[in-house]
Amino acid sequence: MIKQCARKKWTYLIYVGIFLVFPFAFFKYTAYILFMVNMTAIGVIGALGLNMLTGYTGLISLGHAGFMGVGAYSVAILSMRLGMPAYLSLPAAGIITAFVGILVGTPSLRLRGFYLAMATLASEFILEYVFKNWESMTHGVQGLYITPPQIFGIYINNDRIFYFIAATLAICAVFCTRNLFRTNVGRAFIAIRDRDIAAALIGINVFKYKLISFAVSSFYTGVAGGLWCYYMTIINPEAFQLYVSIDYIAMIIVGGMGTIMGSVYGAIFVVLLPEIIQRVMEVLQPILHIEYAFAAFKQIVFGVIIVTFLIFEPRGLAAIFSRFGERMRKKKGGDQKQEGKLVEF
Amino acid sequence: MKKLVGFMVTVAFCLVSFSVYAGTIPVGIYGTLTGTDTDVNGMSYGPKDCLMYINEKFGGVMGHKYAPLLLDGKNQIPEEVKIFKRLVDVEKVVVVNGWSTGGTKALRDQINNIVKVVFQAQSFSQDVVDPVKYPYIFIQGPTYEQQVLLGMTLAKKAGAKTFAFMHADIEYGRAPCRNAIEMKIPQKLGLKVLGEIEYIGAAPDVTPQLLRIKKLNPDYVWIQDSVNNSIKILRDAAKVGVPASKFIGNCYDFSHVIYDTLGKDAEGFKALKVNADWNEDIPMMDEIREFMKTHKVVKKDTYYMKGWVQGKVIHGVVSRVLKKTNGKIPPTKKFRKMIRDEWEALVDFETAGGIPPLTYADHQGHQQARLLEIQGNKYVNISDWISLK
Repeated sequence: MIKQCARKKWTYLIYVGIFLVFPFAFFKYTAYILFMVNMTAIGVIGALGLNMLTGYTGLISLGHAGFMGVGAYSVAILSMRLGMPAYLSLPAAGIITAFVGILVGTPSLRLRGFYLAMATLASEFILEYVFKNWESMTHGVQGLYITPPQIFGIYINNDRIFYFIAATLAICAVFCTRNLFRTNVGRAFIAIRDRDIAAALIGINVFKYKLISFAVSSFYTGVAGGLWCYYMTIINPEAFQLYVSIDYIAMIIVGGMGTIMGSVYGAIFVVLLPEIIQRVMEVLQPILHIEYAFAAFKQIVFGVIIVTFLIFEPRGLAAIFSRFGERMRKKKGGDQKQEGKLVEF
Repeated sequence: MKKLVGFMVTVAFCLVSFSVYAGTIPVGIYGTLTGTDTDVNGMSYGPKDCLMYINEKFGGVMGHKYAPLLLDGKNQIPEEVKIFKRLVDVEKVVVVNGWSTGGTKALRDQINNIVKVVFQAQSFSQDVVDPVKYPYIFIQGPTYEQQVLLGMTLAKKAGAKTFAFMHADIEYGRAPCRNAIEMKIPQKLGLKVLGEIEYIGAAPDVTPQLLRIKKLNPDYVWIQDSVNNSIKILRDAAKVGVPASKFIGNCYDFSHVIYDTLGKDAEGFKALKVNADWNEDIPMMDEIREFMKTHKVVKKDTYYMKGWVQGKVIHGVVSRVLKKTNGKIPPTKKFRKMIRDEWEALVDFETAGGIPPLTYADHQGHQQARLLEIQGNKYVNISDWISLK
């Protein structure tokens, strides 16, 4: 027992060490790799928000991109017009987005399934329209350019500085979500997803908890949008269109709906896989002579991989890794038993 | 399990971190190969093919071959930013041929202050042209605002009194038209703007907007959009009885696809031309034909020609730099700086007829355009080259 605690302590120390050293480890390709890590961190936060709503509460949403846009524009307006520092504008953006989520959720939550998806899709288009046409606030289609704040004289959109901010927030988001689902609020979400009528019968206020789910999910998404704004330094309505919502849905489906680590795996998958396919296609391109079809091939391969996942492993990467981990643990436990050692689970 | 995931992610990062391209002068090119505005992506294939042609015909420059790398930006800002970082960080390119206005603006700090690499944008937005503020960004041709000015000037010369704008609900569409109105260009020319008609860029039909145009009945309508949407506009204009001769398009509306698709419904449509068209009787076309003997060229249009010219400019500038270094390739940072300085110093650079001679002191290369009209299923020049300075 004491040995296990000591081993855990060392494991955590190693993880912290990797976290701190990582941005300095890739001497040659720092900017590119850190960019992908930073985008993954933003994706994790956004995917956790969507997973909370869709995976845990069973509410389909196609309006995720719109909420990200609300977060991004909130940060841009608060920081550029009001001079709000980042440590205030990010949570403020989350709160504003949560409020918008409540506004959207209130009329929508009387609907279910396909109809709810259509209602959230409508909110996506409404928000996009607002971004394009509320020119006094959003500057319309030209978008907003922001000067990111500085830390010790370095702009926070510097890849290394941003890594520490985004990765820390992503880790916090994972822990917060995990703790949320240990509370009665999280369990209420799961009960609603599994059978909302039964949940109502046992005294859960279904409408109230659905609205809370919308609000918390929107908060996460707003923070992800705010981070995106600080990193890109330019936001325009074209960046928050339906394809972004589809990307996030792909993340949680491939990663594993209703699992926290599924959001993490899904974000890594959606960010990294296209790059890997790109490199493989670049190697094959001179051999296959597919210059003009090359770019489309990448999209086709990505689509085929997602469909394959849906057919053969609908519970996503989280289920695959969980099964693999279980097998390894059982094998280790079996080996240790054979050697006559004491086994603890 | 966590170790397995961590190992797989590390391997994935290593896989994407190596450079596949051999060649001593890496050049990065990205454009919309899939997604929106693929109708003009000949501009991305052109420079790549030009540099490959130079490698094959001349062995590169002073014994050094180009390694052009073409990537898909999908016309999405995060994708373009990611590609830019890969190009400068992993591939160590010495020149980047970029794409969109939004992507160029998102990268302006990286391009000009952090990485400092020459960026040849396909955008014609005046927001990205500023030799002092953005010393590393270059475009090739008149800005959209200058093109609007030319379009209105030619309309005025043809006796127009009223004018209207049509554009999509994106920055490329809205900004130049609004800028032209804010700069009071119509008032200066004595034209009355009857309306600014906006449509959803992805809409399959714009009949309601064309009915509005029919009601307003301006003498001319400026289309601030590219080929695909212009085809929709002219198609729906014919449906409601608005003649194509009322419409003037920008440089991204000059394409044979318009009359190939619409036939007589495109008769009278006018567009601006800022570079040579495909199959023109110019020496540059002979180079392309020679290249086509051993390579396939799918994008046979004016945008490919523009891309080929851009490849020639890259080669011209790199050649001058290497002549100064006696054929030795300097370290990347120094090489990029020297390329920038040589690019800005180009005066009357000839492109074998592809484009008017280029002078890059203003970072635009040239500011000339001419107006063409579709007559009898082909483009006919109806003006000479006009300088927009």
